[in-house]
Amino acid sequence: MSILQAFSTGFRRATSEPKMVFVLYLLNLILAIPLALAFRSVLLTAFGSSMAPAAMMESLDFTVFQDFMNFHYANLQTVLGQVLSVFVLSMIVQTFLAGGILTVLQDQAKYTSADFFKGCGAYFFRFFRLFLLFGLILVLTAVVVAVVVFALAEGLTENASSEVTELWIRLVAFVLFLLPVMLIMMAGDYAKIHMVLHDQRSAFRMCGKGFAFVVRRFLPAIALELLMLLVPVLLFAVYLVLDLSIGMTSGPTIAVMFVIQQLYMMLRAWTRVFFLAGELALYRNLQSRPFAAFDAAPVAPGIDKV
Amino acid sequence: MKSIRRSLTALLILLVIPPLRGAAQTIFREPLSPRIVTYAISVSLDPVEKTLTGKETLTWRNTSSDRVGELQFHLYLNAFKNSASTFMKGSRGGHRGIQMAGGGWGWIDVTSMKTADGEDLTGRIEFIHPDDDNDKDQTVIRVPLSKPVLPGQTIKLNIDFTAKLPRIFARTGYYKDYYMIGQWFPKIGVYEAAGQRYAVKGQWNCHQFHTNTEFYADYGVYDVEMTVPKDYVLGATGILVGEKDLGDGTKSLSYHAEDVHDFAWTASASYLDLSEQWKHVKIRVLMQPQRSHQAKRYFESAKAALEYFDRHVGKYPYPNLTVVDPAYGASGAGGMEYPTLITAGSMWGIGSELKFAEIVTVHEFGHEYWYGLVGNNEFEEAWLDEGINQYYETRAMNEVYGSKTAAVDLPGFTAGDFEVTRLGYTGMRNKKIAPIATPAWMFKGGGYGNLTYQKTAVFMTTLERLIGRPVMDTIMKTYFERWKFKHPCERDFVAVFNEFVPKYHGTKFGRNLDWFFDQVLRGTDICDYELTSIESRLVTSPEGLFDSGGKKVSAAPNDSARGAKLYDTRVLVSRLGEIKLPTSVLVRFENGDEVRQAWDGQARWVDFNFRRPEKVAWAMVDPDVSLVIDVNLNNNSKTMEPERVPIWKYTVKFLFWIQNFLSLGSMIG
Repeated sequence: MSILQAFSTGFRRATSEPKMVFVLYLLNLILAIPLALAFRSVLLTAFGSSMAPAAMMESLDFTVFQDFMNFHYANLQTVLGQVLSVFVLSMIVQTFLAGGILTVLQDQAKYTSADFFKGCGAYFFRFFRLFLLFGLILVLTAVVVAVVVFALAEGLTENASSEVTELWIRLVAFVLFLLPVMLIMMAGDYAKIHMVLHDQRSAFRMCGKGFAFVVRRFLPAIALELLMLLVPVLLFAVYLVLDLSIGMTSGPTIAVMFVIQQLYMMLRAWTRVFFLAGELALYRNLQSRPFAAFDAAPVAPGIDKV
Repeated sequence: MKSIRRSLTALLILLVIPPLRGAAQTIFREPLSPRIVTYAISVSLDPVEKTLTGKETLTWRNTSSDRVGELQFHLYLNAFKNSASTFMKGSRGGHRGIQMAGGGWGWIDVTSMKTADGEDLTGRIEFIHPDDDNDKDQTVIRVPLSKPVLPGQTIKLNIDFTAKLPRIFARTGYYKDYYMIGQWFPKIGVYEAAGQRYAVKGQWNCHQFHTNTEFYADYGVYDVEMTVPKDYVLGATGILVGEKDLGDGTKSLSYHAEDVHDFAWTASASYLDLSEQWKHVKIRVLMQPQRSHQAKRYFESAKAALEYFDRHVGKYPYPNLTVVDPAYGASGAGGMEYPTLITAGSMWGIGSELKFAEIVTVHEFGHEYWYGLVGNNEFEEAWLDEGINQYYETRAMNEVYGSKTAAVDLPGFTAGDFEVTRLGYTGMRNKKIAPIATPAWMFKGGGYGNLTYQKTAVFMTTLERLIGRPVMDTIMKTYFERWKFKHPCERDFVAVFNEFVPKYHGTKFGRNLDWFFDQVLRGTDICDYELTSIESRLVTSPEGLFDSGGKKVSAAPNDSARGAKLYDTRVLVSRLGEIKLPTSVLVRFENGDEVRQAWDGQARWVDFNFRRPEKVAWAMVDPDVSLVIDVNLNNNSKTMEPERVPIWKYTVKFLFWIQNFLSLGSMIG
């Protein structure tokens, strides 16, 4: 199976599950709405019946914004604290949902709420242990890699001859930092896939399996990941173009942008399914073949022909 | 025929060969300043050791009526000699967010000081510490004289010095083969006669070099010959009057400057040397090659600044201006002013949406007026140059680049230069930390920049909006003309306002403006006016029990008049801060009528009452936004029908970004 096939399988599977995508989107929205209302409450308290917000209609008026921040930053900080709490909750919810998504995807069957939530429940504790394990690995790796890579970059920039060189050094450092982070997240996904396909329970073993897959099948795994990453990047680019061209300068344009934003968020939910479906397709295919077969495959044009 | 040809050849050679040092060259036919000092310096740069070796001939004229028995000098470079200097103790090894690199110390030694008649004063040199008791600080020396300098007399000294340049982190020094050399030579202090500024008796004003302090010196003439490697491009204060190849891989360049109070120079092998003309001024930009595409921004902003100051302040008298783009790694040299030479700062890849290069250029050029031409004491009254200059920077930037876009002009986010400046003050955690009128080294608890630069610009803008820009321009032009090439102080600045404001406004602002300056300059209070509430109530007849014919008669409320309702409108305005400034309140009624009421701003609160057939629509205190020193402009208005669409706009935006943020959880979860 080629990487393109895994990509297109993921695309098809995600597109064929609009109900599941909608459930994911809805849960995200439900978590976000209280925070948005809390933010709105801060704005209403800050401005009351002042006429100042009118100046914020065209664009962010710096003077109105700075006076708001000077006097109401503490209230805003409270909301931001709540955002972090909800983010933690959201990660747990995502862990819960991952089981449902993979259950639906592995069966090749159509989505039913019953199957989906049954899957969510069935894998929650196993995935939660994986989440804790991968979370720990991710944090530790990120810290170590960040310290090493950025210290190296700092040393190199000291002797750089221009800011262009410095910029490149920092950019390379950032990529070097991102790479292990990305690999860990990929390993997390493949560990979940392995757990579901083989009905495994040990988080440590699955963690090992996840890393083993990513390391042994590095090229196809990373190639698929990068290819799939293009989709959310493209979506975001389209969103930015729409945002800049429509603006939010009146009631109707705010309403239009709200609809666009929510469509975008649905597509974000879709990408979650798309990624897991693509990874599942690749995993199934590569695991069904002996490792040597992959190694024997031609490298350059054959990366996507394993 | 042959002799004619020979003569023509000789004439041609004379015309072609650049004038060498010593050739008499003047910039101004008549001196513009008192020319109290004359420096002739010959200095050689060692690019390997990063040292300077110099010979200085100083002529100082005693313009006081005192017999001056000692001289005092600044040795600024000793601020970087060790961690025990007053500068380094205060800065903890950093300046404007840039830390000193390890081992980058700098120093200056006076190796010989002799009078013109050969008397050796070297042994008499003594370090003094007029501002603190730090006996490790070596930034000021005194030299007792055998014979005092009598009133009107001059003294000539021959001084030899060697200096090691610090690695640049605070204005001056080196980075690789880049040199920005300021505050580099033994520089005499200012002898202030009784009555000059705050002096009650004749005294030297020669402060130590502190982290926050800048400089103060007398005007004069400089002739400086600098020897540098042959391939270096050099820029300096004044004009180039001679250049010669010394044949040993070095060259010497001679610069001549008149009616300036400092001399700085820069040298580097990598500079791109660009120039353009603005009226009588040759603008030279010494640019880092990798940022050559940014040069046009320097030229454009320098020309805009020349034009603006020429129109609103006065004539720039010098024939040239050099804008230096500091090397990568030497950003500590950026954003600094010297006579006819300024250092700016740009960055590869930063587009004109972020106008840092323009702001710095306009700001530093402004110092050619407020510091260069009007030579206040920057140690003691930094606001007189930094603050006034910040005010003019915002004016020029706003006019040229837009009041809402002069600092940042990105899609969906813009900021004007004045807006950013105002934030510097209103965003302070402790706005009352010190009065603006505080010597620069006395801002021990912080706030030097925010108060000296930003709060001054904010109060100047407030004052401008109160008295009107034409009056403000008249006053500032007068201040400039009266005090150029002199050393004014706060008293002199305020005096011009006190003279002109009553002329234009009578007693509208009182007999003088001392009440204003007492609050904003010498005080620490804040200004905050609030439109507290608005309400309109239907006028009804009284209700309740009323005595009528010995009985208590009950009355129900009735409309004020059948068919013609009347409303009592009350607008309550409060003064939340301690600063009291005159302002006005604008009230708009539902039918579009507007009523403006003046308020002296003195009371803690005031209410304005109206009885009209229309209800109030909205009201606003300080409707012209004159009092920009008001720390919260958002509470200056109230409306009966608050505009909720903008609140929804930002709620919807917030929701969207929070949804995105929460969805990141799926990457791990």
